[in-house]
Amino acid sequence: MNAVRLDDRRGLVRFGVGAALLSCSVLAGAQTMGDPTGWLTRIHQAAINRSYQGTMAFSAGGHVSSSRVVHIADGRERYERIEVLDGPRRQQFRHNGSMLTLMPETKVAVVEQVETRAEFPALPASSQRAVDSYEVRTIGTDRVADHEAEVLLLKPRDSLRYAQRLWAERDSGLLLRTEVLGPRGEVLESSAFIHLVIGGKLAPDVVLKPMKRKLDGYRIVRPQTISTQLDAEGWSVKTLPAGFHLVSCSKRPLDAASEASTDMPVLQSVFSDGLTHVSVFAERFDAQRHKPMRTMLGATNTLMNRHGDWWITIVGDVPMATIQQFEAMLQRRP
Amino acid sequence: MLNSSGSSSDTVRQSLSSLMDGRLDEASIDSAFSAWRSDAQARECWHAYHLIGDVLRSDELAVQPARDEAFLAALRAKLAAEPVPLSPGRRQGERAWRQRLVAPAAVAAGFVAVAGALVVLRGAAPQDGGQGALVAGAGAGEMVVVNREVIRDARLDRYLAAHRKVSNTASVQVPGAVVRSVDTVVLETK
Repeated sequence: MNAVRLDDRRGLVRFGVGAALLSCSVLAGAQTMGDPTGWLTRIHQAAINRSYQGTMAFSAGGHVSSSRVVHIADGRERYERIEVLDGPRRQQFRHNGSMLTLMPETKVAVVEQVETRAEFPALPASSQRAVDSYEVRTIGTDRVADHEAEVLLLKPRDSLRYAQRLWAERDSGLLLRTEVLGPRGEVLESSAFIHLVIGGKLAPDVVLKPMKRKLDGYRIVRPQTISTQLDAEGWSVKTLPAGFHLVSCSKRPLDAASEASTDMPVLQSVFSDGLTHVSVFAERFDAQRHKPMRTMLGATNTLMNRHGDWWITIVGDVPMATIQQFEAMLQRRP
Repeated sequence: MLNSSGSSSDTVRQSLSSLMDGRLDEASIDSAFSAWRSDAQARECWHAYHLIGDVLRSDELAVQPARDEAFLAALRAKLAAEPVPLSPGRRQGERAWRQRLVAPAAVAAGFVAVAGALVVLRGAAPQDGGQGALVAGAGAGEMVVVNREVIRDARLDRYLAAHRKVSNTASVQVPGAVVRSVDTVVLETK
């Protein structure tokens, strides 16, 4: 079986340490080339702790779009620039938790503080949680954007979520390509680097300069996100769909970029199974604006429905049946 | 008499609106097309409907109507220089829709712009599976949208964007996939 493919060098080490290494979870995050679960941790860490730049393509539901990405890891500082290359121009600059999004067509600049990803995770909590819901296997090797890749298959243990195929760069673990698969193995959406340079010395100025630049002619919007608790907002959840747990709960205006900032903040609760996410939005029902709707875009399903005085929107990269389970578990305190 | 002429133009408007939504049956398509060709008012109406649709979907699209005008003018000029494609004899179902729309292309530049959008939005068959189940389970008055259909809720994209922002913390994500323009194409996201 070629499921566990050992790198030559490390294979020797692995051979010696054998079962002890596999059973020792403390080492899981360190060097586990052959251990599929370790790969998830490496993928996560590489995206944060490596410097890279490249162009990636994203395709879903018959549409393709591309972005240019620069990520710089310099000591404890993280810099990132993402430019959407199709359709209306959009540029996003991030320095640690500060983010600036520019929309040159509409002359809108959104300045906000974002939750930084756990930059130095002591314990790969999410990877471990994912293993409860997915069976992780290495299924071979491949080449993506001229980089050697290890291919992983994450097979869901139930029908509540989609399977994923991941291509991770062999040395760094950087994710080169992903595919989200439907129940019959069909590709619902995929994203992949088509050109990528890992490492090298990149100047943070490509991110910092635009962030410091005077935004002449731009309307600057600073949306406020307030952390809160479902409980405190008058909501409760019964039993969550298997494997999911609450990640965050906050209130934020959704129409930050629009002229009319009279918008009421919307409550957003985020649930995750360690790999995929589901957002549950709640706001006051408004007959003028709110019409029941269900959509499917690539692997992202959306459900909008009225619940008494409330308008519930659920967005998730999970099957519609799972979204409906989320809808059913949500309860308003009388 | 007065009544009948008034209702006839209502009928035209109604059929243009249905055409826009992709809900017009084949028999009515022809009369809608000919109304569009011969009736300047119908063309104006058609344009207005699209502007309304655009505004509903995104305020960004309505920013510069002049750009739209310029685009149409340029397209008309280009089309005038294009050879006229022949209409295919047989047409069936959705496929026929597209072919049908190619035929009057040279005649009606305004139509073409929209037909193009329809081809993109209603293009190939959606992934088998999801759709059937979704449609079957839809309640009365509920809109069900699968992949490339036109979406008329301007707010949906904002929920998607807010969702993507938090997915950023995902353990597994190709860097950069968070900011996508796919939603922009389909939903006219900001």
